Amino acid sequence: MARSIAERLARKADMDGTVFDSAGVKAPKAAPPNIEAASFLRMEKIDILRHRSKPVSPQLADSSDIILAMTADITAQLRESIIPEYAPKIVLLNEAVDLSTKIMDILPPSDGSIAAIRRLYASLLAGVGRLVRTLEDPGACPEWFGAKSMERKFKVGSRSSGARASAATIDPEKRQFIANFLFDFLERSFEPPTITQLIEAVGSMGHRLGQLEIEELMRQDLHGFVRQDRQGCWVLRNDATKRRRDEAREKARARNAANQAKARSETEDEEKLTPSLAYKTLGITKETEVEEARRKYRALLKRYHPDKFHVDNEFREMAERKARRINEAWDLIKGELTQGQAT
Amino acid sequence: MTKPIALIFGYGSLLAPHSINRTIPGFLESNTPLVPVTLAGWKRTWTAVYPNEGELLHADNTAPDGIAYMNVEPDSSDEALGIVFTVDEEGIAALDKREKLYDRVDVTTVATFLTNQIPPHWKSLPILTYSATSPWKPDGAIATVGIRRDYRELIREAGILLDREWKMPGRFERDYECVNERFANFRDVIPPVDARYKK
Repeated sequence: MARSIAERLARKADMDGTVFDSAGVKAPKAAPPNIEAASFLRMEKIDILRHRSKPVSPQLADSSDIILAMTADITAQLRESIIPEYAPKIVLLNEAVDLSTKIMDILPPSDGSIAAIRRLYASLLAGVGRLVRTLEDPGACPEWFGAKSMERKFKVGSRSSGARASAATIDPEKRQFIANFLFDFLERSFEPPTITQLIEAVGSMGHRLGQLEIEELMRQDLHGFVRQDRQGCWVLRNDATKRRRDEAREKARARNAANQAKARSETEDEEKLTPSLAYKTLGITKETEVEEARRKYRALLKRYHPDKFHVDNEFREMAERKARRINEAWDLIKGELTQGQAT
Repeated sequence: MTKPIALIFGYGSLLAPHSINRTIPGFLESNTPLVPVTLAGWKRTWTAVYPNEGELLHADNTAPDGIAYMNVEPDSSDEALGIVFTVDEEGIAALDKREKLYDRVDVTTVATFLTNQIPPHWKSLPILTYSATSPWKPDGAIATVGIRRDYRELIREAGILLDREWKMPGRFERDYECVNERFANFRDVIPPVDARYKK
């Protein structure tokens, strides 16, 4: 199970150079997988039916760069009795990945129940997911991962080295995009998608996120729109679609208004209308007769009357702007012109 | 629109945003400003004459041999008024396709902006325009040339908005020779008949 998950996550992360294998301490040679586990993984679209178990052997240990154990007991067993000569290579999975968060020991399913298998799957996914992310970022690699040649194969992720994987480190724009994508994905899904399907869907959009990050996104960015059902799958709330659509419309309206205002101020000569500019706009001087000025003003209004422009709506708008400007100019100097000439 | 790489000088149908939008979809939404510019050493003429392939039919059911469109031609004593707008690489490709009968020329050095409010990054962009250097020559000795009414209106309305009353040719021209006679005083608009329109 661990191997399949690791392989799948590594494939998503473009880590083609890495080979994963699994072996059991007490495992018999070439035994088929547990049928319950296999059928559970089938639902997660992982096929392990063809896998066969194998016991831990010195040859296998020799060919590996690192050996990850699932529990502290197994680590001790491996170090002390089974393959003591390879002790430096043996690491407990939880210790290897993220020391800042405690994950419980990954226990093999005590009974064959689906609940136990699901628990195992979840903890493996968390542990292996973090391992893959750690391997991706050479800066964050623990000391045990010393093979320089291997390091170079991994892409350096955008995360700063050593930082804890968290949705908080995602670029806000990207984060918004992923949140929107998750919402759409939930909306499109006929059945509530499992967390793996969500991880894969986000991965297919080119964003490598783990379970924790996706859950953080769901809780923070889509707060109020999504909830978890009894099985722990994320689903949309009843009125989420409508509310989100309304919100998007409101945003688009605000954005449009802002854009238009900006465009207007760019295209129009938005120099503040001063009296001298107003005289210039109307093509008159302070000495012009009031009657003459009024005639000019009316002629200009007629010239830029929006109804005279039929070819292009934009032309009409431009004419409207011109007419507005002429009116403003006239309003500004009208009083001055009549007063100045009256006295 | 992605990063603008050039300014296009429009003097004919490219004066109208809706016409640009037809070639560069999304132009209207992008609110790209149109800024008036003059080109020193160029003049606006109606010399871009192309064969009429059924687009233009007069009211009396006669079709002219050619349709005249606006053109700009080098003339050291004149200046041409038009507008400029920014385009990206895709936009240039689309315009090249549309104006395939015209040649793209660089007029950066002779252009003068008629407003002071120019975005600073525009100063580093080249200014390009489309000029027809080898117009169509009709087969017959005398060709009839017409102007599309919507095109003519477009030019006229744009002229008003640019504070310039462009002298417009009349309703349409019937016979090129006669056109020239009738609009003999419109030398800035219609050039004298040129031997190149005759065989």
